[in-house]
Amino acid sequence: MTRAGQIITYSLYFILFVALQVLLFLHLALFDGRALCFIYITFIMMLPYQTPHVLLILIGFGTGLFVDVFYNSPGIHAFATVLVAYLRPYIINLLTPRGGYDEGVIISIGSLGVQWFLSYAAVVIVVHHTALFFIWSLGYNSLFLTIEKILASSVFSLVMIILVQYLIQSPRKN
Amino acid sequence: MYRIFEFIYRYRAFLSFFLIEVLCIWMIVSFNTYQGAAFFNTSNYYVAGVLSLEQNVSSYFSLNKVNEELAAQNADLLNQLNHIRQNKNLSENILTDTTSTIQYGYLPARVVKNTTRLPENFLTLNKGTLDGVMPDMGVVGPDGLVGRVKTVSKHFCTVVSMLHSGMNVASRIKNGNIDATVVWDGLDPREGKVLHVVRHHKIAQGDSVVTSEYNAVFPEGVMIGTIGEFTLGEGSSDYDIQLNFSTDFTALSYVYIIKNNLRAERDSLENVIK
Repeated sequence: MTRAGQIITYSLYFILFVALQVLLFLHLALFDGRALCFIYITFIMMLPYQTPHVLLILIGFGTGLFVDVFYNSPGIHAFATVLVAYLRPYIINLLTPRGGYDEGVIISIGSLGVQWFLSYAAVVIVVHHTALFFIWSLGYNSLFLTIEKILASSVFSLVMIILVQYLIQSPRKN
Repeated sequence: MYRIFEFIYRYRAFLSFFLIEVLCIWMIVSFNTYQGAAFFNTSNYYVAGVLSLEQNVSSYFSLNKVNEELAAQNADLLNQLNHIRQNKNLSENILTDTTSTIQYGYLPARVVKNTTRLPENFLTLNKGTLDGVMPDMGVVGPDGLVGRVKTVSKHFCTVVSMLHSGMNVASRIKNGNIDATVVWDGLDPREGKVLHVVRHHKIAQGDSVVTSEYNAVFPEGVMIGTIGEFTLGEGSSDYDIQLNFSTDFTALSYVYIIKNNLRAERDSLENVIK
């Protein structure tokens, strides 16, 4: 993929995931409000393997802040998203398959397999949701409820993110 | 010098991560205490524009229900008007006090966006500074208390919902005039908590909880909800009381922003004491 093509593809991903988040998932909650879905972090998860670390952090900040505006929570989503953007290269390194990654690998379920993507998504989601809900629930003293929300929301997000992966999977591999 | 640059370059990822996280924390803290105009929220002109567009479409699906609610409210108001007219006829000869001002004014507003399932919830309304909305005005719905205005732009405002940890409403249990504070505990949009009711008071399920006159934001007597289940733990001095909100926060379409015409007077008076 050329540089310009790459920028267009990932801009479209950004619009898709952020629009899904603020127009659809903003209004959705399961289990009496315990489970919320934050699908927009898929965008951070899917950014190209070679994305410079600093750029990754800046994109994370922009994405988080954009979502924050719609959630009336300035800084909270940005904080959690910057955290996963910073940790992303380490998580990817941790999950290196035997033989390493191919040059120019695309980070998606199509090119790296279900098992790899599932563990990758799970780690990213749990880190993100833990930071998010702890900061968001600071006004209440309800540790147990916060943990409940983190677990329920993580499962919800994971299921939705995997589903969407199958929907947008690049056909090259098939 | 070169060493410093080398150091910064080497740890640029961590340094930018660290600085941006500090910026985020600053944003979180300052938004919690901030009032007035804010850019990064839904009273932003463009964001609210998108949300209004979305709401324009979805509002058609609830028109029937909204109509019924408004009709019921109209009937209720007509009844009250009749009462007042009758009383007026009886007391026609009594001179009315011409110096009194009408303390509260109501400004109708449409709910552009409303959340009820987040840890901290806000509403966005389609009235702003051009309509005279200012931070800290109260917001009520047809069935009772809704929230308090936080930030205002030209055409829109965001309202801290009752479903927010920052809302501590000075209130009163009507039956027995017991002062209390109403808060939300972060989970169910139908239920809140009534705090600071000491054990020697007598309370009962179904008692109404309304705003008290200690409140600078709301008029006295705005309905908040009714008492649900309550327990009195051994050795604790306060009751643990569930409150069933009278407002259905999940189905708000139209609300009223309350202008307190005597607000400035009260504030300046209370500031003198401080």
